Amino acid sequence: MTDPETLDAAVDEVRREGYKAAAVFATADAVLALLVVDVGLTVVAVDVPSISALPVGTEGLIAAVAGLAAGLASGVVRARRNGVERFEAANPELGAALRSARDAAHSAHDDTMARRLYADALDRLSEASSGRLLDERRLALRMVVVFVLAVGSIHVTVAGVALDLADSPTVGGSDGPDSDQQPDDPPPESSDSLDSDPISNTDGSTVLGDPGEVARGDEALTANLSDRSGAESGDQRARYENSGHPSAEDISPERAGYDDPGSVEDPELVREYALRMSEENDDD
Amino acid sequence: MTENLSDDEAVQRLQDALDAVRDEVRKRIVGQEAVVDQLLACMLCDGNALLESTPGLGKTLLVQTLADATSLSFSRVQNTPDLMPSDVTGTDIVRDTAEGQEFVFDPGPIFANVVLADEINRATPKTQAALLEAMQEQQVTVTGDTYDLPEPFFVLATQNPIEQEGTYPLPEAQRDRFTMKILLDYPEDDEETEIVDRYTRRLDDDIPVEPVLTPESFRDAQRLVRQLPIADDVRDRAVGVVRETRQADRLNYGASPRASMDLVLASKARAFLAGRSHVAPDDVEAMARPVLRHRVVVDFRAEREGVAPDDVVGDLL
Repeated sequence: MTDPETLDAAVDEVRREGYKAAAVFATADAVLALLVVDVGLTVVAVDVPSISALPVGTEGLIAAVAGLAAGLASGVVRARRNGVERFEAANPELGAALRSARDAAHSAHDDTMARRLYADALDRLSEASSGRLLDERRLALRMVVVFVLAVGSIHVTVAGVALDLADSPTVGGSDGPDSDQQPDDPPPESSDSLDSDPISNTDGSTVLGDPGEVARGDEALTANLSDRSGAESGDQRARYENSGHPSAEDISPERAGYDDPGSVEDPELVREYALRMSEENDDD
Repeated sequence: MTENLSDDEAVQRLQDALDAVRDEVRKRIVGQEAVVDQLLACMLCDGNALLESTPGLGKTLLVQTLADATSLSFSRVQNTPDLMPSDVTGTDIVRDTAEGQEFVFDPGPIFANVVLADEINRATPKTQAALLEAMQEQQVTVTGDTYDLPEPFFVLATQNPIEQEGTYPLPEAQRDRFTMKILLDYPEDDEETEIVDRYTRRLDDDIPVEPVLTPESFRDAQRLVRQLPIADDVRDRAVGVVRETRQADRLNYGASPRASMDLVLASKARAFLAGRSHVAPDDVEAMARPVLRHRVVVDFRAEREGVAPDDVVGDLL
């Protein structure tokens, strides 16, 4: 048997366990928000004014603040929600006993049955687990997303992937808006071109510009042609007269034939016939 | 601390003794476990029960066995239309003594711990009123003198639901004084076989039952039942169910606040019988029908459709 004060102390301990569980989720939420904002700012390539006094970049600062805010919000909400009631719901074998004991202690019941209930509730509490306050599936899901975002963040940073919202997407970093683009030039046909091949989907005239006269230039250069093959040794002269298409003599004629092994009754006779035909052709 | 430990042991001993009572009852009664539990719970509430069943289901034997196992005195009143109130409560008689003649109170059958009022609806309203008043006040008044009834005191009244000719149905106000209305149904096939085997192999069908609880212990158990804590939400649910009977569509009349008290108390008794120190929501659900079924009146339309009070209470749960 025990008294209401002992039970109150145990209930306070249950509340602390609820706060711990809330802290675990709040940390995961904070990291998740930090990574989401960080990756988002890197990929979207928002032009953020830099604050030179800070040791980290402005994007990093924004991500950290977002993570902190998300963690705090999550922590406060969960700390309120993860009360003793949630603990009771997570441990149904304990729920009704603990709830009755809490109400009895609140009403300062101190008779035989109330003390027996306090002792019973404390016994059950010692067997209950606060680990059930953690929704393992949701926590695992958060961990997976955090891992994916962490890997993605590294990849985005190393590869320099960025979506330039003002112009077209680039890989390997963006130099900002194209300086050759004139205000009068026609815009891209659709926003889909941002995500596709920048050359194949672009109007040729836009790339080449308007046709015009090419300047002659004023520098005279003498062109020397060598008959030496670049790939051979220097003293070997290339024979252009023997190169190119082969003459008719270089090609030995071959007769196309059809040999169906299933219908050839006398291969030796066929071979003899073919040789004679070849000799006759040579004689011609 | 030693006192606390002894308190704990005392509670445990009482709960064990109540288990033993059930075991003793099983020596004579085959099946009807729920009925035995409800009847014991009703007695632990210090309440009175209305037993309803067709004849021959062992109501009298059940009540007598419970009295035997709890060492409580037992009496039986067979209600008939010509039964007078004084036949139940007792009356003053003239007795010759050494000093001369004097009026002496001759107590009636109601002066027992457990009174079985058989076929209570066959007694006239006047006799019913006397019985129910005694049941409520736990005392009787005869020719101006008041006599306390023994403690604990239970009236377990029976009714036959089929034969209604020549009966005086209990009015709603009288029914409300019964903590529970307990229905006995026919036994299962194997149970009936066991009853036949148990009671047809011996000429003397009085199977001995050990008294395992004293009347004082029973009073202690009643006190502990009332001390048993109940969570606020469970209590609110019990009260809510009773209140909803007053707005239920298919009911003409709902249950009174006395029903709320009885439902909470019956739930506590059930929890105590189960060896628990707290009331679970299941206790309320299990006790709602026996506590409410005789206190609500189904309207004509629902009655024509074959709706019973248990159906309405079940829907409310």
